[in-house]
Amino acid sequence: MTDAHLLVAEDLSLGYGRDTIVEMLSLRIPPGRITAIVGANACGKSTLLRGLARLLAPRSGSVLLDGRSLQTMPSRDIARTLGMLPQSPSAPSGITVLDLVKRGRHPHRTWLQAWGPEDDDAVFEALTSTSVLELEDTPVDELSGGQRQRVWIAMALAQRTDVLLLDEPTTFLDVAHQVEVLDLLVDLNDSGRTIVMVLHDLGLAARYADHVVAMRDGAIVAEGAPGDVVTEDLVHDVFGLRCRVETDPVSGTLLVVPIGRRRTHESP
Amino acid sequence: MSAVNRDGWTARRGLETRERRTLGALALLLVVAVGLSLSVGSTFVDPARVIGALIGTEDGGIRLLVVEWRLPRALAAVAFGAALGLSGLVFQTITRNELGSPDVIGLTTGAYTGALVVITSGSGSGTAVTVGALVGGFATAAVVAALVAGRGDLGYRIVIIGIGVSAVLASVNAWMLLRARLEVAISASIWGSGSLNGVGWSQLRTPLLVIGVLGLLLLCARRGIWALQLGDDLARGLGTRVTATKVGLLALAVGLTAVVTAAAGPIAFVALAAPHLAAALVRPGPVHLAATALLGAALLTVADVVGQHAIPGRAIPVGLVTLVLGGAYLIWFVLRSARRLT
Repeated sequence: MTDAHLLVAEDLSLGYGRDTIVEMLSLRIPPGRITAIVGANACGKSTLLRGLARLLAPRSGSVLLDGRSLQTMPSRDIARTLGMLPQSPSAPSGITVLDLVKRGRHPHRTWLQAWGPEDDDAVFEALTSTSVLELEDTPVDELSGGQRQRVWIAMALAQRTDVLLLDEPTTFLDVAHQVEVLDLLVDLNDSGRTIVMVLHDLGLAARYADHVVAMRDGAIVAEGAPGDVVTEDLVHDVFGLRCRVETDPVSGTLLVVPIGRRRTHESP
Repeated sequence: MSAVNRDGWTARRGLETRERRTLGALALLLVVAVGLSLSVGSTFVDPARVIGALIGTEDGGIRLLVVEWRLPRALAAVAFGAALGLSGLVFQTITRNELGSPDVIGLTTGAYTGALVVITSGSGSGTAVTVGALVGGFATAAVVAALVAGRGDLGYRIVIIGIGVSAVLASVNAWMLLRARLEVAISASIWGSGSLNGVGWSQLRTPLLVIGVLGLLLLCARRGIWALQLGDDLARGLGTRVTATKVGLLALAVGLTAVVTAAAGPIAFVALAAPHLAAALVRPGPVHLAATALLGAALLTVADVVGQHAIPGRAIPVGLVTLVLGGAYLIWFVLRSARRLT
């Protein structure tokens, strides 16, 4: 976690089959900060994240890590700098927490090299910082959703990358576990990691991110500090939802209150 | 986070006691099965004399019987069973489907087709049949891969398409047998039922060598298996070259299945069941690899002993034994999976 790495998308177009999802998008991820990518369903936010993680090859344009195109870098070299946690990863049945987290060391090992003290350090740190050390011998199948998500993050941490990309890390979690996972990401960010996550909850994005990227139809509509981006107009623009943006009494950050048609004081 | 005591903690763990016992029990089962196959037969040889023959203190008839006739067959069952089990493990990992094993998706049928082409065209030398089976196995793998390529759930596509290809090839095989001259058809059928009959040292040398080399290569490539078990996205995120790793592992697995099929004919069930049974006993990872190989070896050895001696005076090819076992197992497995879904 020495010098922060720079992740940049340049005129990036991404798609599946015949469909182009993201078109001519340029984005610079602020190093050492937490960036949240938000937007309505199917706006291309997950596609963009997959492109940034080189899980999806660009149609055109490029993704640059410290000035080098991901397409030309050896996959293992990328994996030592850039970690990625997909939306709903699945573990081999019966695998224990420790065994799963150890697999995060994959890019640091070759077929000849034995397990070393550095690997021990990385795995121990990953297990403790996500508070799953006491679960190390438990099968992953037996964990609750929140525990399981912490274990997957631990696996990504064992990879010891300076940049961590997460696709909806809070999906399927109840609100307590969502906050727990996001708090953990802030802890990780404090130790210097660059974090990029796709979130669908605007309020949580406004509270936890330093930088918010709002997308619609595969393009960036607005980006910047949460206070500049998360506005009533923008929410209407991006989500098609009328809302009030208030100050959250707990965090002092922004709170997005949807208005909707029913159960409101003001008549529509 | 420094509050947690780290003294003596290491992520390097050996086998759990339970797993050590499991592997020990499997190894013991294998030794007993091999012992049975060496001692039981038209002439019973008691275990002490079997050991004597192996270490060279027996001579004459007993030594000839045990070392020259029965040992190659027993070794073939061990090596072929382990090879099939490992091949099944790789296939099931890459297809991410427990039914995605080489016997289910048509590779063994395809290898038989290759062998039949050679046998019915009249050039019946052992080497030519072997080459035919290898070509048939790899060609079938290529056809299935070409048909599967595209979008969607790869695991299910590969199983459904593989079963379809397998059915087509089975009818091609039947057609070739019907067209062949009677004596050719009979010899081809014997090979096609999957048998270790007549496996001697001279026929065993090449398959053993090939299985040894492929097994070693698989051991070197094992970390690719662990990465792929997490899914393509995570595997790629962890720095695995996913496509290259899959192609390499599949080539090894097709090679393992094809070399066994070439030497002994199609043998079902082992590649499907050994990885499942091993997974029920041990954790994923290296210990699963070892347990799969041991179980595959033990399954085939036991099946061969059963086939040879279950009905006195009437030896059944091991391929038929495993086919019956495999059919019953497949029904049980599908029913259990269906129950789980509902």
